[in-house]
Amino acid sequence: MLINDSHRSWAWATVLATLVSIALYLLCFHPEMVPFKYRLPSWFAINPRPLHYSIGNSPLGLTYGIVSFVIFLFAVLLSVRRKFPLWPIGRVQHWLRAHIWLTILTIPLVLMHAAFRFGGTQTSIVMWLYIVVMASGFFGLGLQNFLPHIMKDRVPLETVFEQIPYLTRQLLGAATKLRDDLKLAHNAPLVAGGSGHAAALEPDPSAETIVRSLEADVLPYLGASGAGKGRLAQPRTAEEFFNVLRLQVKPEFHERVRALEGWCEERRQMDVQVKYQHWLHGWILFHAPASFLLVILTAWHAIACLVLY
Amino acid sequence: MLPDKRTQKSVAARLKGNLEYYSHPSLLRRMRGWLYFLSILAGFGVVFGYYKLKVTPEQIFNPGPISRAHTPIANDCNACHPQIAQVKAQRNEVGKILKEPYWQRIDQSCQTCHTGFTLHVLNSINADTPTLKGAAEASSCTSCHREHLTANKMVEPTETNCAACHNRADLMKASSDLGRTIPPSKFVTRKSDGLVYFQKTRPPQGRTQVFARFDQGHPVFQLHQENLKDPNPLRYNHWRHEQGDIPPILDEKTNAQVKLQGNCNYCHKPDGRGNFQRLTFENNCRACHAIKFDPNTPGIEVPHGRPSEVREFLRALDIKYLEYFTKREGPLKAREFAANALRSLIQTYGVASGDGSFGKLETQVFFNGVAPSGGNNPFNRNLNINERAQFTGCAYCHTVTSGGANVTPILAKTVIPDRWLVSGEFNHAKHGMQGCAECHQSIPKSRDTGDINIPTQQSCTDCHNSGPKGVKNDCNSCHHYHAPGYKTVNAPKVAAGPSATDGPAVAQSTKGMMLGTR
Repeated sequence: MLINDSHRSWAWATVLATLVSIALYLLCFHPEMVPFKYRLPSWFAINPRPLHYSIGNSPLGLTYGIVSFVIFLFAVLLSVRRKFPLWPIGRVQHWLRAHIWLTILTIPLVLMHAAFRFGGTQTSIVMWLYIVVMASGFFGLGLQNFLPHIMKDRVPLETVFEQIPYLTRQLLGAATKLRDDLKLAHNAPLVAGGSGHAAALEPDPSAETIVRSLEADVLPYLGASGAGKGRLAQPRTAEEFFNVLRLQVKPEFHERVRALEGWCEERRQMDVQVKYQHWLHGWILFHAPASFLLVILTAWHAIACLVLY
Repeated sequence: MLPDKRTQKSVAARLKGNLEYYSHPSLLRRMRGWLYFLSILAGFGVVFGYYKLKVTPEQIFNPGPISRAHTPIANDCNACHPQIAQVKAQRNEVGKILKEPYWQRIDQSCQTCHTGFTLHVLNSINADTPTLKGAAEASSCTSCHREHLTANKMVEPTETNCAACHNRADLMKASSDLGRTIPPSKFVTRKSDGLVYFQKTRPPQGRTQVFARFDQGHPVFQLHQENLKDPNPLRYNHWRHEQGDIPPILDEKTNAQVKLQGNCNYCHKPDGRGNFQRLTFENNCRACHAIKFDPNTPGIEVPHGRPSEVREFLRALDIKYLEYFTKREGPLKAREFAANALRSLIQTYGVASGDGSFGKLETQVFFNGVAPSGGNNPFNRNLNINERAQFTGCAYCHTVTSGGANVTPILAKTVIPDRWLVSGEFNHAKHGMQGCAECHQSIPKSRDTGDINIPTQQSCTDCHNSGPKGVKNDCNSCHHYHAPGYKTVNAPKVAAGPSATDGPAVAQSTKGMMLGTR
């Protein structure tokens, strides 16, 4: 999702909530760092400052922990929301904005809940998982903000990602058909023989050159199952290849060479698109499962701390 | 042949044959679903595995290292957190167990080992009431003694722990009210350690002033608040001993001349534990104030002891002189020297009838409180210390009263407290970088024994404050929370501590202190 002006109110709300939470934390746990005196309401039960060390189980620390956990749950529900885009529970865009900014808000909340410590094994695991989730989330957010611009410049022939295999097959089919046509048009009389009229024709060297190039370079490139390799995979070497090919054939074959060049260019851009697309959506393969794991382990942490100890 | 120009129509025409693509998701999309499923499975697998693989809770839930003292129970969560065992054992009372504050359970665990520890003062409020919340938590073990923070020594309590009660007006009021119902004699602030403590009357309200920190509202020391005086009957003048006319003293150990002026350590010698040795006549006064009553025989001294011993000495002077001159001149000349000395004494003081005393000598020894001066007086202060006789009589320093005719005079008992601040500890060794007068500013001007020259609380907060350059000012730098000698009602077991008959080590009154009784 692009971070633009539509996020302004969310950003301000997050900054405000962060400042309030930090102020409450300081008033509660480090009043000496606050330049003024203020007694927090008694119902908050954090004045006087909690005596038992673990800030996480003080009313304020616990509140931060619970709020963070609820945000985690909400963030995870985004994947469910996207599965059912027609549900009347707010636009996915709003969900995404809330997902981004509320999870950013969890950074101060989680840090203050944990009192800036990793704690024991279980809490360390949860904390590291949280770091991984947040880092992958920021990474994904960054990719989603920058890659589309890059793709727009580098992949002008961008197409529907899921259609790429189909289009690749189309390109391969077109190139194969061209080769067959050329073979048929220029070599068929020799093969057929016997008519006397056709037998007088000599095979065209230009067609032969194109067919050779097709079989040696173009068809293997277009038919490659992964990203195409060879000299046609690079724009500069591909341009050089087709310039040389143009010099080797008669002008009436230039049109076919240009078509071949266009197909190779399209294939090359589809390869680039696939690469970018993998970056653009691949991080979610890491982010989302880690988030699910985080929610489960956080729930376990909460139960163990609140109930057992 | 594919269309050359990329138009909406041409693109649509090319994709026409594959419009069902969304029903055949890509590998990426299919993987995503599986990964979600696997991650959820892994999450539950971790939790399930923890319970099935018998991973100990210490390995997984321990939030931090256990302090050195608790190493033996470091691998046994249940030793301090009996919750799990309780829940397992009393499944039908889980709700009740979970409703109890968790620190209460930990406290109970603490007290299974630490049975000898007593809580705070008798009037501390240890339980919540409908109007007083948080008192029970404030007095819980774990509110001050925090575990899981370090593998070394347990982290010390901070002023916050103390302020949890002492900075609460409602708790202090309740504590003050409770304290008024308990006889002051029940309050014991010191364990029996052989030291003499300055006795103060406990304020009716107790120590219940509301304050947050040592440098924020801590009451001034009671000595200064009530302008208390040292009741010691011994006369001592710090100012006099700081004057420049006092000649240097020969230090017998180093054989060097030592100036007394500004040299506090001449009398106040460190005891190796951070405080000072008890002052004695032999160690601190005798060098200048030896009781040399005979200016012609300065080598003979009246012993510094009980009046009866002094009297016995004075009535056996003929023998004392003979012993002295036997040592000094040898047995042949001793008799002659002793006879001359006695003759001289008789000329000065006369002879009393029958009891062996030398007329006014005893009176002079016991009651002469003023040093004679001027002329050829051998007690003249202007003479060099080695030339002048240093005898000025017991009453010069002590309060001496006559016991009647032919009765040994009575000296008021001298008691010099070893500790003046009874409720707090002070370690002089830790303050060695300070000059004495930096804190004891009143010493150079003090002329009266009654002056208690203990530094003010303000002089402490000059350094011990929470400012940027302030040094440690935690309450436990001076005070101990666990008071000695108390048995709290709530304590389940109390190990062999001071019994009711032991009583406190310190005297309960100034009179008791003077008389040397408890």
